[in-house]
Amino acid sequence: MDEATKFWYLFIAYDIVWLLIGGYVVWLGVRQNRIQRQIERLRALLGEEEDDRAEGTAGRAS
Amino acid sequence: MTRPSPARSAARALRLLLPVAVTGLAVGTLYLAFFHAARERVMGDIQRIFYFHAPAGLVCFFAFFVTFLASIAYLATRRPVWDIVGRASTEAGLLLCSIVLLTGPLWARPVWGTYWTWEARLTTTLVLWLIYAAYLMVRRYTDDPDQQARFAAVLGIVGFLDVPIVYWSVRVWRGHHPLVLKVSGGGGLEQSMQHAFLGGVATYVALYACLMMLRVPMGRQEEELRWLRERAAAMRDAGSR
Repeated sequence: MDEATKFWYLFIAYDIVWLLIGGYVVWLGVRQNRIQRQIERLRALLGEEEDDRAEGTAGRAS
Repeated sequence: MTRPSPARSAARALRLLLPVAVTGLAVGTLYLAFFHAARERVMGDIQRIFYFHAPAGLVCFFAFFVTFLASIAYLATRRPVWDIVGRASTEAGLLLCSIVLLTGPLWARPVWGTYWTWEARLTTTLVLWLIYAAYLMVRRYTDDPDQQARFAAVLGIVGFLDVPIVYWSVRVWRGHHPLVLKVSGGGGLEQSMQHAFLGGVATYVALYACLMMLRVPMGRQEEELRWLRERAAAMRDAGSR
């Protein structure tokens, strides 16, 4: 195998390292954003339901 | 206005500094691997894959050792934080093990004439990857969080038995794979090669720390999300009654 072909193997191996690391970090970022959005949505939903309940209890009491 | 605690300030500084350190170390290692390290006489420049391949394997062992310790800690205390640490370390370890398994064949093809042979080091490393992939997949078999963590922890402990087997496989079975670290005696790496190798190890250690700092807080968020979902489901049930 000539040196130029060997160099291509080295180049591809080196690229794979960066692609794998970069891919994992991007995947972490996307996943973290999705989780954060879901947390915020559920917090808002639970907050609204608790407010509705509080209003309902107050209405019955009056 | 309240001042942040020293521990929180230190964690924040570390979160900012660590990616900078990883980038700096990566650039330094590139220099060491491509310009500083001597050209290997028999293999030529293709041997430079070694500086990304072997350190990844070493730090991957360390990551799985952390999983092993976290798994023991989880089974002993049942604190969810140990499960989060174990999962984070397994993901980082699997990433590094994937680097080893993909760069190895690209080095083997020009040197051995084949991408893959079923020799001891290669086979046991593939088994290691499969074990820790199973560590992540086993969680899907049940919905109970404690059971998920328990199953994974058992696999995290049993799976670690493969790490010494991978390490000693080249000594015991003597296949094609070269010995990387010699316990004693000369004939090892030339000094400039040692520098590049150590640079690679330092880069991967910093990268591992950086990934843990990203992944562990995300694990806490996943726990919070699960708790919120349970609460929302309980409120829906109470509302429908």
